[in-house]
Amino acid sequence: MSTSHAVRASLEAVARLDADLHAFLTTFPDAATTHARLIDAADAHAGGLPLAGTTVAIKDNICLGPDLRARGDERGYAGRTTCASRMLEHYRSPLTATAAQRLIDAGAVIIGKTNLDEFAMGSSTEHSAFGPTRNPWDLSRVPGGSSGGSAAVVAARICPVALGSDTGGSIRQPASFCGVVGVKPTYGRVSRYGLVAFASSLDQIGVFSTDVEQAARVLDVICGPDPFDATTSDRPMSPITPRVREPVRGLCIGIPKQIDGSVLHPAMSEAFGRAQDVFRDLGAYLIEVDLPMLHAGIAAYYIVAPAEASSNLARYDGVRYGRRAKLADEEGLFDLYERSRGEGFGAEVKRRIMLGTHVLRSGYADKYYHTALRVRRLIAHDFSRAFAGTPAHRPCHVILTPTTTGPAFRIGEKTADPLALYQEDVFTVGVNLAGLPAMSLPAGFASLNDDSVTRELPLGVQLIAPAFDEDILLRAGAMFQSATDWHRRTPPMVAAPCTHQ
Amino acid sequence: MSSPLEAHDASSQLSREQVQHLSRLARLRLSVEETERFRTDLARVLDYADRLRSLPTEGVDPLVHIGELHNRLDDDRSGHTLDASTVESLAPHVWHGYLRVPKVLAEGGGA
Repeated sequence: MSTSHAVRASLEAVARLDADLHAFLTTFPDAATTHARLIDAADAHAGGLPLAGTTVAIKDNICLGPDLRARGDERGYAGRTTCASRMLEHYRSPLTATAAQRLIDAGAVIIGKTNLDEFAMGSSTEHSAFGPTRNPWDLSRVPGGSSGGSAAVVAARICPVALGSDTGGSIRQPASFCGVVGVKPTYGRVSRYGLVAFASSLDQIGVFSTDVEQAARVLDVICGPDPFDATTSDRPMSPITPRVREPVRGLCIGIPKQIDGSVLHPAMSEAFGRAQDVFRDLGAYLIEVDLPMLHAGIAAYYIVAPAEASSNLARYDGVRYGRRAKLADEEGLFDLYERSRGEGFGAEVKRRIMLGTHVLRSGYADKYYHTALRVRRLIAHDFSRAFAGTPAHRPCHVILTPTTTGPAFRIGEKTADPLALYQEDVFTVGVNLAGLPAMSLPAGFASLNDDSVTRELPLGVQLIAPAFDEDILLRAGAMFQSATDWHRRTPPMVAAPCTHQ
Repeated sequence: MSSPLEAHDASSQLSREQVQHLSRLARLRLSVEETERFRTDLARVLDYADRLRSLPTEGVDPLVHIGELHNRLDDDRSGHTLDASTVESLAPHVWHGYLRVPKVLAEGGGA
């Protein structure tokens, strides 16, 4: 299929579906159409670009800058990069994120920028200053977050691929809620250059896709060292795509004994049990592993992430870029800072800046921040020990958990209680604290009866691998996918499911 | 697992003065409603975080960053940077190439 054809199909899907979903904050119909024509022309000569024919959507905390105009496109993709915040409502990025540039260079065409929780802080996309995104499987429910727009775009088959960012589960949780594949690579695998910083030691750009093979193709393009991000690893990564369908011989899967079925939605319990059966039937060994700090992850994360956020977001001062408050004559510099930030940031961002400021304060840092960092090391140790094996159990290749405790919740259901919303992240945050690669795979559905309408809501399971073992992670995922068809189901709103990817 | 919410005391709050002091440290102007809301919200999260102190962390090195701990040095070559006009174009208030801010020094020299 030509790139132009793919772009037309995606733009038609945007027109048909996005009024209901509100997955996009910006779309680039003209730039994408022009770009597609260029790709189709170049492709004939160049003998194929790895992502030609692929349309993508990009979370709106990943910058696209005006340098794309050099590609012969008058408008370019130069758009706002808002982070779904009033603070950056009119901001125009002067640079393009490395991950986005690599997609473009590989022949992918960007359809638009997707909605998120403001500055990626949230688990529902309800904390967007521009209104929530809705779950394609049930418009009264959240798509998850913070990369909810990107997850919804892929679930609704508007694009086969989207980029998101994952700081504590912001790719895997919405992937689970929307029934798509979501991969968070190892910390340092993908450049963060051009990703608006939330918590720099945890943030990682990753991929949403309709299936594992597609995710492999995109990872092969976006991973790798970048001189613009000194935290990228220069560890070599051989392409995953050629061997993604190669089963992992003697696959051994760890099941954390701390997962207590009683906190899971019954349908998730069932899906998690069934996923274990699927792997067993594929010939995998399942063993119990011990992650004693699993449940300490949330508390450690909600200290470390806000601490880093309060520091990162100090850059929004109303002076260099972003929103600036209008001052009265007698007001001074501190009024400018306080009022610009007070007007520009939404409630959840303020809450986390306040929390982060508190835990880093003189007299409190040891009690909170340093304690959380010690727990962070214990969490990382737990994973290392589980993967390496102990006298009590053999080593394992990957760890399997539910991605979330249950299906997507209703819009508004959890906004009143931030702590209840934070509990959503129990299975995902440890992975970020330890810097590991992980993915959510579609693994079943919950049938829920709302107002006498029965709706099917997707559920995901999570695979976690040792650092830099994306290869094993995706191959194990592809094995699961070869024996299941959950990833092929599309929401009822998608009249004609896309089968040609 | 026990419900993570069990351990927390719903009645705990920070004082209004504590929240106001924090908001000044964070350079964040809060409304009266936000201040009231955060008195409870922050206290709840902090109470919840207190459970970390019961874990065996003595003698454990804090893990600040997961990245590979070696310096990456770049070659000493000039590269592409943003030009001044681009940076100026992002700023909300520019005056002859300067980023303009309100008066910093008050009467008597205090900020």
